[in-house]
Amino acid sequence: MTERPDAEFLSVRGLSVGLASRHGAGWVVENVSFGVRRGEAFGLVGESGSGKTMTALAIMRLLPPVAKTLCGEVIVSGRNVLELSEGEMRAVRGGQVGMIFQQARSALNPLMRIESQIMRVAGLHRRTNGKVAPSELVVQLLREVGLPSRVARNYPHQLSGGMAQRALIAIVLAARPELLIADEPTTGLDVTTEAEIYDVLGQLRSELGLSLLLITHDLALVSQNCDRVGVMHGGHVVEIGDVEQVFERPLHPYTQALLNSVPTLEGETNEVLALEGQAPRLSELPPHGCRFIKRCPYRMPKCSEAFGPIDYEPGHRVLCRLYD
Amino acid sequence: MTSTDANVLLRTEGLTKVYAHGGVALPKWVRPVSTSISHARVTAVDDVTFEIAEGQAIGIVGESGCGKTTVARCLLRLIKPTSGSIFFDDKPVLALSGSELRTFRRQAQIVFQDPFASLDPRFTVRRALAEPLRVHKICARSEIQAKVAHLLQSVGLDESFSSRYRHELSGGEAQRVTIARALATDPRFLILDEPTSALDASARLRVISLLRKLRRALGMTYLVISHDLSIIRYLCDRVLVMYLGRIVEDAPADELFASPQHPYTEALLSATPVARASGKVTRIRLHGELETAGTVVGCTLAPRCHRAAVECFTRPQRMEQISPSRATACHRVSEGQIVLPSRAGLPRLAQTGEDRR
Amino acid sequence: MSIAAEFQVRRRILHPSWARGLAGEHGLLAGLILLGVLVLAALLGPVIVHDSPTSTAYGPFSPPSAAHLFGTDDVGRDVLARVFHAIQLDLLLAAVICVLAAVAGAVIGLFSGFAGGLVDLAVMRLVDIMMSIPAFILALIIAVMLGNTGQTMVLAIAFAYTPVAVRIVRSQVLSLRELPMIETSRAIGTPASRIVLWHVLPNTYSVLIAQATLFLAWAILDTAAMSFIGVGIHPPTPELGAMVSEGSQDIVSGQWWVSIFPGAFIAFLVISFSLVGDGLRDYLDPRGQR
Repeated sequence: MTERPDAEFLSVRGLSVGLASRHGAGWVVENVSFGVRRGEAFGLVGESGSGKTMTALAIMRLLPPVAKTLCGEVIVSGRNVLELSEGEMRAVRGGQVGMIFQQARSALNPLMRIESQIMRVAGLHRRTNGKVAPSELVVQLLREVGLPSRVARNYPHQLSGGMAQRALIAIVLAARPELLIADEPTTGLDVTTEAEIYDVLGQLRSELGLSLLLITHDLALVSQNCDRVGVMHGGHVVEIGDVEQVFERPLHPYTQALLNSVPTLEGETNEVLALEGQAPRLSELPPHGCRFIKRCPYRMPKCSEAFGPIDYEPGHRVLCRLYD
Repeated sequence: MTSTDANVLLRTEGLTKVYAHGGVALPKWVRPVSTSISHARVTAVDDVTFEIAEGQAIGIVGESGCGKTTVARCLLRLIKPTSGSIFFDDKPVLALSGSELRTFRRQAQIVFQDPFASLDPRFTVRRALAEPLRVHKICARSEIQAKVAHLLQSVGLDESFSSRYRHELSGGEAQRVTIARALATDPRFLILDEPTSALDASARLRVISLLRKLRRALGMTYLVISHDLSIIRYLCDRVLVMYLGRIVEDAPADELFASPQHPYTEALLSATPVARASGKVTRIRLHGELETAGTVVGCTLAPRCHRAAVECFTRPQRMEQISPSRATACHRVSEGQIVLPSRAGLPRLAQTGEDRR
Repeated sequence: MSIAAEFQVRRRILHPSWARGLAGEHGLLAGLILLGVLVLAALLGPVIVHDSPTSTAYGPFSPPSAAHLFGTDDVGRDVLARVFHAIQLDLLLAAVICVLAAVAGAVIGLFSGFAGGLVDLAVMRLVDIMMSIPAFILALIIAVMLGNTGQTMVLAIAFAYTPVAVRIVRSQVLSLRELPMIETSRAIGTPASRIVLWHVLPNTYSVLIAQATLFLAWAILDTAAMSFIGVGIHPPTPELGAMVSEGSQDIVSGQWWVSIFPGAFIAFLVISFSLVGDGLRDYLDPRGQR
């Protein structure tokens, strides 16, 4: 069966992750569904505590031991990775789905040169098939991320933050994944360096057809670099849609509050409307119903009942009782 | 550089800080003896001159390595500058001693980036807030609790916070405590060094909202240092842009954001993402990486500048006044050789509100 | 955001509710219990067991029995009584050594760390030189040179340990000095003396205490070793190392109890101090996540 070109490469359906620890137990991710098509950039936005990182880790099956329960489906290129054995998953990790994190320098091996790290990954995933000489592969990958070839001989501590992040992307690319998950890749970097990283990611998408799942708390970044966006709060995806749809017509009160409360370079510099309260803690999550209820200006009694997402317009879904 | 008739509170001229040995401070005689010590000279701050009027909020913007944090520390005498002068209320700061120095310390305070690192892990909030009160003998021992409660209240924290330890606070709460501590001496001048960079989104909001309210309520003078242009725009009246230790642009905030007059400012603004539905801006890319200053004659931005001409590499970099309230270090702009496009016409974010239902 | 941040896990720092956290520290608890037993033995032992440690009236070489739990040694002294008195002495010696080394180390380390520059450079090179010689050898040489008595032994061992304390305190001072917390205090106008008193010292206590308990363990071993070879404590004073030495030949002829019991107690003391020291160090580590 041939895949349609715009088919979803990654399809997350009803994903739920339950945590149990000394601090409490609860569903840190509940019934999350979204998809990322080939060549598409999807932004998963939320504050800290919203469950966005847990979602990414669940997709990669890299959850920490406190995560006791995992259900739902994560379909990568037609296969549900939650059902794979660890050995099969190892091939998926890196080979089909790669992941980069904040603080690239901490993710790099400080004792190995960049070229060795690249070659090691390429060897693990058998991307070196003898046709391309090792050093050529390294130079090619570095060029793909916009780094000069001299970086190959460098150690991580000799690189600036931005260069280290790009080197990390090159290393992850050595396995030739089709989807890259980036968890806050530019937090802590200067804005011009940040722009360079996203330029590189954009180029990779257009040249290699790489899909991107960007996880961040920064709405502005998502609006500039992504095609679709999913807003998370308290473990739920409260709104999902194309960037144009969500930013032009934010439906969920949380999305609206987020957009209204970011100081911006343009527009009025009115008093920002600080969101009331903080992200709900694990032990405070209600068993069903909306989790934004404590901070929502439009709350109604029926918001505490269990309900599902509503299709507002094609491609634009919202989890809010204002719209049913 | 401003033409207001308000009193100038802080003035600095030719402020320079040079680190020999690649940023490590070592005695001079060590150089010939050791071969493993770097001999690179780093000019962290290069001939910085500006003034701040009382009641103003000035922002210094720039990326890492531009020297803004070093400037802040020099202003408060936490680092000794290599050369230059600093005047607070017309008194030379670097020459102060004894009771005059103590008075200066009372009137000029600083809030750092990482609120947790600024608080002693063994101190309760009360003890941390009491430190400035005790050092400057602001009130009697018996009044400390009341004063602490009052300070906490002014930053939006309940009195019960006074018995908490640093690890019992969230990032936003900890930063508000450090702000409260800075306010304890009733300062006239407050430096905020990246006050929100270490905080998450909702804490960030609360803190800048608080800072704005406080300034209006207490009439303080602010120096806000940040790499985040949106924060600067929200808090400041005037902005200084720094690159590699030098000021490259000096303008009122709204004019700077609407119409930058230096290529670096232009590049910074275009690189800063803005949440908008459509109309993605083509980013201006600066080629290459940051190089250390002190090795280039002419403009320090020239090797990377998208508007550089040949003479930019040889002509000394100098600030030129282009209007009574604005100055720029780009001679191509000040001589009219190039005109930078204004950003006023960009699409704005759709309004959200009740009518959206 | 890291997973820890997502759930806002607070960093654990030592603060008054220490009892709650102690329950998870098995090593520390075991060490404390063992130590408690030994200290009790040292304090109450001589009271309970009335036999004199020096009287030779008990008949030589009688094996452990109801009358003499640990038997008697080659000149007829009761081993149990001697062991109790020896524990007392050893604990006292170790305590003195530990306090001397810790205090000297703290003072020098504080001064060196704060002074910086040439002073710091010189002090650290001195420390390096001292640490290049094994502590025991260094102490031995000094003890003998200064006159072979108990006091010189104590001073010599304390001297040999001081560099370790200097290094630890100095490194704490150096890392604290750069913290915004200290910079803020300077910006507030707090005078340097109060900064040291309020901020630097209290944050150095924990590492120093952990190291001090290790000093106690080392001191037991080193005093025992020195007495074993005849330096410092001389017979007939009961000291665990000396007792092991005196009884060492007797093992061959079958009288094992003269050496083994004091040796075992050396081991118990060292184990208990080591457990407490390691446990304390882990417990007090502010970055520990348990």
